[in-house]
Amino acid sequence: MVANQITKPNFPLADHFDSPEQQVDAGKLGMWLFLATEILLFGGLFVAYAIFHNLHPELFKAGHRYLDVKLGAINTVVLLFSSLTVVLAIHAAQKNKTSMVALNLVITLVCAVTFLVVKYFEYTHKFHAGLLPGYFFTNGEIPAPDQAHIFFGIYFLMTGLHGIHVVIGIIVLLWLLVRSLKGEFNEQYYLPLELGGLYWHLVDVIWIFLFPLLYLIR
Amino acid sequence: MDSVKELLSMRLPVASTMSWLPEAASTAASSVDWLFYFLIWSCVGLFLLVVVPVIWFSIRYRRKIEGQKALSQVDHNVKIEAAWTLLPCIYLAFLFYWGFIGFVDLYTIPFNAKTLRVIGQKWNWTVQYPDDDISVSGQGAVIGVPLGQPVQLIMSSQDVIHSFFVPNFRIKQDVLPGRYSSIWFQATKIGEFPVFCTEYCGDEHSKMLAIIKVMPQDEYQEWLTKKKGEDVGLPPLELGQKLYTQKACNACHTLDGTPKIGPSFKGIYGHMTQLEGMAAVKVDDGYIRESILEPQAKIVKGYPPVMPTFKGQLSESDINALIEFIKSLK
Amino acid sequence: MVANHLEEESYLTSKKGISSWLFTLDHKRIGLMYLVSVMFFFFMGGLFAILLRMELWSAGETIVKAKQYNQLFTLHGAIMVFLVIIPGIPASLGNFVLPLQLGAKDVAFPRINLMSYYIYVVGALIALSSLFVGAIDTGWTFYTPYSITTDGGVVVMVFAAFVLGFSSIFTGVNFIATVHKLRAPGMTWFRMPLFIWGIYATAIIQIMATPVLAITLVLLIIERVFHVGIFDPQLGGDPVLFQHFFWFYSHPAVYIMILPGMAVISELITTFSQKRIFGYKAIAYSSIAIAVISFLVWGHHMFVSGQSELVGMIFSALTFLVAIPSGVKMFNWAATMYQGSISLATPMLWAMGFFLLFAIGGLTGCFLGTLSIDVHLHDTYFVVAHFHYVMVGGTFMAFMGGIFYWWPKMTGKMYNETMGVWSVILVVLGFNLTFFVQFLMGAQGMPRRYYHYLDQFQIYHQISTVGSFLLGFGFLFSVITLLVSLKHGKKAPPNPWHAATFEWTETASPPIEHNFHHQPICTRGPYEYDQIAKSV
Repeated sequence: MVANQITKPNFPLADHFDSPEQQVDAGKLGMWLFLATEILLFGGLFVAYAIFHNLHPELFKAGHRYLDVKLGAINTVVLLFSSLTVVLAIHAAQKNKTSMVALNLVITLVCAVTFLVVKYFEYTHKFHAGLLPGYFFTNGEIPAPDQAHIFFGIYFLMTGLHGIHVVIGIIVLLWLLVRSLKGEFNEQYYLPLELGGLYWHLVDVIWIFLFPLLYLIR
Repeated sequence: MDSVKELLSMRLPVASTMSWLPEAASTAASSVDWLFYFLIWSCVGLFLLVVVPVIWFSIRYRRKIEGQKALSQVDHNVKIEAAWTLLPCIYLAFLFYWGFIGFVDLYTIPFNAKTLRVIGQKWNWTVQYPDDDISVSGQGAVIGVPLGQPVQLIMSSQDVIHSFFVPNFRIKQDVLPGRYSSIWFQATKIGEFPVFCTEYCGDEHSKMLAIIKVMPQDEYQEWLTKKKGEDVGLPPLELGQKLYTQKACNACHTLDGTPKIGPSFKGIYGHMTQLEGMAAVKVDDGYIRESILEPQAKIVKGYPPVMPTFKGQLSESDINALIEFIKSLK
Repeated sequence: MVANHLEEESYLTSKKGISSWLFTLDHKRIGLMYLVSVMFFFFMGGLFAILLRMELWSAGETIVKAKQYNQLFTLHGAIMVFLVIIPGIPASLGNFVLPLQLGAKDVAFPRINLMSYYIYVVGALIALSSLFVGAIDTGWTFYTPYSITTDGGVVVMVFAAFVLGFSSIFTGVNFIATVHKLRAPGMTWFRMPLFIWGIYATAIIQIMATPVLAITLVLLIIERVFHVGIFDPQLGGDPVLFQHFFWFYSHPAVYIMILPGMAVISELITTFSQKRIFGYKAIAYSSIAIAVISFLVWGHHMFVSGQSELVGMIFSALTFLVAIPSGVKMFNWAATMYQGSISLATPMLWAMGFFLLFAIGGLTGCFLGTLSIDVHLHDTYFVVAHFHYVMVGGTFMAFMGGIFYWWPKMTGKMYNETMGVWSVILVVLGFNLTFFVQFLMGAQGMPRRYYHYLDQFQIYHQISTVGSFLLGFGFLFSVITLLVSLKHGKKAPPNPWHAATFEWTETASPPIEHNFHHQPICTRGPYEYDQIAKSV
């Protein structure tokens, strides 16, 4: 029919779509909608953060000193760099450079894993120091009222939920890597790369909000 | 227990069986009730306004023969549409305004109000009279209040959220843990009026009842005096028995050996009891005292750790009286 | 040409075997699977409701103890809200009808569609498994701090609601993308049937509100397991914050429930009046208006929770504002019937039942929006009656109407009309008997979620219990009517109601697997009954 005339040769078109453009548009719209829900998901936590910051500003001042700004900053740079490499991967696909796609994805993956390793060291330090949420809070030296555990509750909730997103991101990136190694992406078809990239940018952007709110707050 | 039964069989004073609202017994009620009845009649009118045409149309324009076409395909009429958008706006604005005025009245506490402190806990109300140094509590507690004088309730909760509802006064307010909320009323009728808890709070939510007893001033003063004298000079055993219902121990602990939310009191004194995770412990004066003041310290095996603390609510002699009472239950 | 088409098999028979259903990507089959699942849980929730009503025959213990009574109303609420009413119309009828009405071959993301069905099933199984961990007794609203301290499988049930939320989000994403990108050539926004507008507005709420519920439930789980101190007052937290978070989702969720119902009614009234819908744009826009305003009214659940008078005032005003678009829809439906050619077939009777009951539900909402009146009525049976009139009398009547309307399309069978009519009569009678007395009892001060009650309320409770049996029988009879038709029903023609939308005019009953032989082209509005071309 009419639709079939504009079908591109290297584009796996699902049979309920009429044209590649329609499929790409629908995919992107769906991803943006999903990202909106993700932002709202974190939005709930940001609201909780704002409320408790309003109620007990002293907790946040006292609490943030126990977070390692240096490690947080390293992680910020690592994530920002990984966002760049994702963009480069898409760019490479548009130029039909299949090996560059894979290389950039690998670099992104390395960054993602680095982020988690750094986070692991941060978490273990907190565990040893007893800087934990609620009943598990055992740190005695912190010069804050007895509700300091709320700050660490929020800290672990926000960074933990973000961490889960990083893990999911790694799985997505691995899946993209496998597909790129099979040579599935080319100048006509790179939609999954774009969608995965959008998701990874979101993970990045959320961290960019978390870092100042938790580590740099005064 | 008996008082709750009594209450349950008591009828709310309702003007007549077919009345929509219970008998009005506070100043607030009069400002609420007219609006309620206005709402009822206006809603009946609005209901007929939409339902009658629909029924009429479905008779008048009923399809008589298969394939019959509609008489017209009219699909808009700006004037009518504007009317049915704007007129409801006016109606609703009216409701909003009068509802808000009444709401402000319900929560604006007169400066000369007498203060009572209300504590909600699973599953009873405690009302303290700070000026008179007495308190009443327990399921079915009788809260005496004077006629014609504004009374303010400052309320907080021991455990979960409760809500203080007096239908005859048209007042209701959530009672929250960790903060104070308040409400007021001025009784206009002598009589006994039930208090319900209206925020779901667990097993005996529906038994978390009390009675507000409205009395003329002189009778109220007598009541206060009598209350003050009541607990003084009661022998410990009788005081303990009284506290057992008044503090709602009976909500969780039976006297006949059947386990409820907590273990029964029957025959525990002087015997060993198995604890959660630890060895057994002997039920003695020290253990009972600890269980009342710090209930979570030792949990009897097989029961949930749900008992609230009674620290600050019981005097030394109250605790001793309760120990004597439990001791007596062989 | 036509002869060839008739030989192609319908979506029901084109593929065979159980796995062709379990792994299907066909929106029609997924819609049917949802329909069966939702109905299963509806009857389970209904059974709990009957048990509740039996318990309330007398004050104190009638058939169960207080604890079990509390567990029963929690389960009834949680199942009906999360497993029945929220997914109900969008996931079953929406899935089946939306692509057909748009002239599309499927939804935009068929695999995600199947995935969201399985997420629903997993969520439902988790919810049921909470029964084995220990049934929960928090009420479906999970209010803190009660939900943090009580025993039972609260974490399991809350996690189930969390999982179900994702099913809802994915369905919403799918529908929005489908409506935006897969409309047939010529189908402009204002040529879309109103059912699509309603589902579209619903999808917007689904994707905007559900994530907030998800994070709220996560916080609740974390609070219960790790005692973080966000909601727990003993640790410095704020229990009322939970109510804000919860109602920020759950009030819009009320419109997730009712908007699809209104959407179905819009289709039914115009088709069975054979007349263009009155005020098409008003109805379309009012759906979107409701979707937007619904996010701003959550505080009306909390007038007596200790918030300030100013906040109460704002929420009251916004609540009245959201009433206007609903009122406008009612007037438009009534005007649509004016000078129509009205057939009182079963689906139309369900719509009439909806009209009657939803009018009562909506008007009693005015009582609750009025601040000073709400103080007296809050958390009494008046509220219980009100939301049952809206949710059952509104949404569920519309759901049944939709099922009876699209049943010939879904199954290719016509049901017995007399039985259909009796189903409606039984349900409407039973419903009013059950719930109307609850308005009276609530106004007189009977609080909800009460196991014991004062003697004076007994007569009302007993009337209500009798009514609930009639209502239950009515729903059972409706389902029997439908099931009997599968075996004995006459074969349905492609367009038995003489409707004007694509699913009736462009494809057979039941449709073929890819919906249409030719891509339908849209050249007119959805309700031009004069111009219905020759049926397929």
